[in-house]
Amino acid sequence: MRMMEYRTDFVFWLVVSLMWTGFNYFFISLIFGKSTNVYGWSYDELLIVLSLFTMIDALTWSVFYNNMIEYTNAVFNGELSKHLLRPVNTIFVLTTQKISYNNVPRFIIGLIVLVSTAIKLDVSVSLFDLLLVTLLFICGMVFIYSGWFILATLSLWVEKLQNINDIMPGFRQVYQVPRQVYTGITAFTFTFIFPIALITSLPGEVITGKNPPLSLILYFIGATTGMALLAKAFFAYSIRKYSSVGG
Amino acid sequence: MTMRAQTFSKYWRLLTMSWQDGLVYRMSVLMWRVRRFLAALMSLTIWSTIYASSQTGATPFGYTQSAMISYIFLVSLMQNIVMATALNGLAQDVYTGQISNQLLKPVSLTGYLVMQELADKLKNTSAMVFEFAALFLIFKPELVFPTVGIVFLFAVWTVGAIILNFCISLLFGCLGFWSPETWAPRFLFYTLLQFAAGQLFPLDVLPTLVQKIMYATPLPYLSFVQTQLFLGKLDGAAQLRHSLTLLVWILVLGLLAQFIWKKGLKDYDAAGR
Amino acid sequence: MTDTPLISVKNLSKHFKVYKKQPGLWGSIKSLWHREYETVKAVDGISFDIHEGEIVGFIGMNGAGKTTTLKMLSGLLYPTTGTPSVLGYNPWERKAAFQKQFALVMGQKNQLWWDLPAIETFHLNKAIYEIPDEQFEKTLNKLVKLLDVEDIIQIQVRKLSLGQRMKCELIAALLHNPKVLFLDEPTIGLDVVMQKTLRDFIKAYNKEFGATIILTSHYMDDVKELCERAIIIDHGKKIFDGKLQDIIDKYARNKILSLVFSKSVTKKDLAAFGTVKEFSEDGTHYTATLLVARKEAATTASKVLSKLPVVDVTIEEPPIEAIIREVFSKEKAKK
Repeated sequence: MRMMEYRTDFVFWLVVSLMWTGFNYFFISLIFGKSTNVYGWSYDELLIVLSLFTMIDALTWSVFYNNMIEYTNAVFNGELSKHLLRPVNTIFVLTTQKISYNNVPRFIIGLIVLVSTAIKLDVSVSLFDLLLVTLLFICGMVFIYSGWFILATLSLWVEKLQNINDIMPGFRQVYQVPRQVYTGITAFTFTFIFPIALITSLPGEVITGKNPPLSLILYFIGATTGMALLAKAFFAYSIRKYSSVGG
Repeated sequence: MTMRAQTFSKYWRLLTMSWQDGLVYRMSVLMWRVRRFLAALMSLTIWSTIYASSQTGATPFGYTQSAMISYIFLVSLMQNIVMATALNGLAQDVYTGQISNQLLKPVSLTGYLVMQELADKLKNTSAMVFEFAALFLIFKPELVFPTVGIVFLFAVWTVGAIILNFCISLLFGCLGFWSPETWAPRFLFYTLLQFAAGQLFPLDVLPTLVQKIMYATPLPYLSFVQTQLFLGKLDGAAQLRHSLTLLVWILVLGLLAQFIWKKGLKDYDAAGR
Repeated sequence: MTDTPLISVKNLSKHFKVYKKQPGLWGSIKSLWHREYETVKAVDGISFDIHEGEIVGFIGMNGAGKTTTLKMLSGLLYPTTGTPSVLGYNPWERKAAFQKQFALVMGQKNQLWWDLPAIETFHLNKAIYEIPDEQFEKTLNKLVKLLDVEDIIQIQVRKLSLGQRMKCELIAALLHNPKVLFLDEPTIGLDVVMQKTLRDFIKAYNKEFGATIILTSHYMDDVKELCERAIIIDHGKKIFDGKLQDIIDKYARNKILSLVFSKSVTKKDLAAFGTVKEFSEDGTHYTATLLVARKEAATTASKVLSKLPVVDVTIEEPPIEAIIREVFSKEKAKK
């Protein structure tokens, strides 16, 4: 019975995933129907970025979305205190309760397109490059997680912020395209102030041999670490306030 | 006279209360707006870049840069006016029996929902004015104002799109009479809509066959045809054809919604017994 | 004049088709063209008449069909058979003239706008029911005083306690002075004091406005104190309709004495006073429940108090379920 429900859910998400992915690739091919090069990215190279995006996005939906909803719901109905009493690391318990596998197909699609395009482009990726890409990929996930977590934690401060969990997904569109798309004020915002444009760009540039500046890579790793620490500190601070009010 | 005044005050009260209710959580409203703003900003940025990186003077898809930016600007505006709806939770309210409150009182449920929708629109559009002023300043779309007649028709079509979306929302609401599964079908529909209503790219860049299929559905009438009218791409015959089609879709979906609601109410179980 | 009943119900039934729903989205899509279902007879051929000014209690276990009946009388549900008549109207038609004369209050559902103060909902109802200014002011003042809620009607509803909210719910439902009032579990989840307050209020409302009231409840005390007449419903069928006192005399011959002792007593000591239903001692706590004859409950209690080391004693009515079970089994045996 329960299994059945999961299966239909799975079918639904499979349909949505395929549609999403299909439309995204269609959109890119549409753009390239007429031009061969957008800000130094060829069609195949853009596919690499889009595939990275697809994979990160699939993981985001699978792992973060449900848990962040659980987290904010726990705040709203006062069940957060229950978790605070447990001896395990609270943040960890809070945000790993529920993992759904609905988006796994999308992740696989992304991976397949990534690998096949890389082969087609005949890129030479050294072991070091591969490790770097993995590191950057993980950094991207951590960055999204931390940003989302900070936003979700705001619900401890402001009454009823149910749709807070829509904000981070709202930013997804930003890292769906390479950072070179942004100019002027948006470039400054999305690469330095809130560097989400780097999430897919940097690993994409490494794979396609565009050799992104080392300083930018270091900056992104630093920013991610800072974001994670900030999330942790903000949570600790908010909880202190929450507990004293909740009594 | 007094009866009309009473009816008016009834719905006026509903409108103001829905308005207040929506404003209780200002932060929540703000968050929603941030998200919408971001979506419009992204579409405009991406298209600007695409044009900037192709050869100057090139007109991919038959759109010049300024025409495309104007299109995306207009379609985002339309989406914000048309798509935001207070009826997202309607099916859930039907399923949980929450609509019993309205059914028990001497007030029409449709009237009640219309007021909620209206309050929501007012809230969203008033916030939108500032957002689109900002977007206008950043991207400077060249909006050539068409004749007064066209602007008038555009306004009528926009109201038509709002009514059409309202009917579609009512139909999704009916699901609650028979199924607890109310979220997924809606989500699927709006995912499809993102593309089929021309939010990401103008529909006329698509292959003719795909366009024909699209026009057999009500989807283009939710924003796309309105933008085409405003951009002066429709001649008199097309204007008439689309006016009639829009009207027919509203009538068909409106009557269908009414019919299914009547049927649904007979099966209604007011949640539990 | 008083001979025409205000509410008249003949052979009323509601059958629910319960779809054997396959879960999930695919299941519900499939069910669009093929569905299997079974019929649940929530209400199964009930008839009764209720006259103006009566307070009638619907008694029955969970799922017996009480609420379904009330919902049909309110026009929320479409009856499978039978057309009830309330105030001369067919409720299903949902005529405004009818809706302005009745109210349904459900203990577990709320009509108050959750995020706004209750007074806002009151004003909304004023507009919806087209209540004249003067009448609104007068009724509101009276109700607010009666229920002692002057201070809370300006506070966001979601910040109120359950009891406070229930009081405001009642006010919202009564502002238009309904002639017919349906109360579905109005005291559910409330503490004893609040239950009493609401009961007194309902009684007062009935007296003052001559309103006809149907009430369903889990609590025997609610029904006992408010209703002279009770209708017992079980599995969708009416199994008793008459004076409540008759049922109590006939079927609830006992009351329950709950006792707490300071030190150990023997079962034998207790058996002298009545039937021992429960008995427990764990070395520190000594408790027992006794079934004693209704008429002698008070005297027996005082006897126990004087003979045994009693710390605490309460006298209670047997739970509604127990009485119904008794009625049901005896009515069945008669046939």
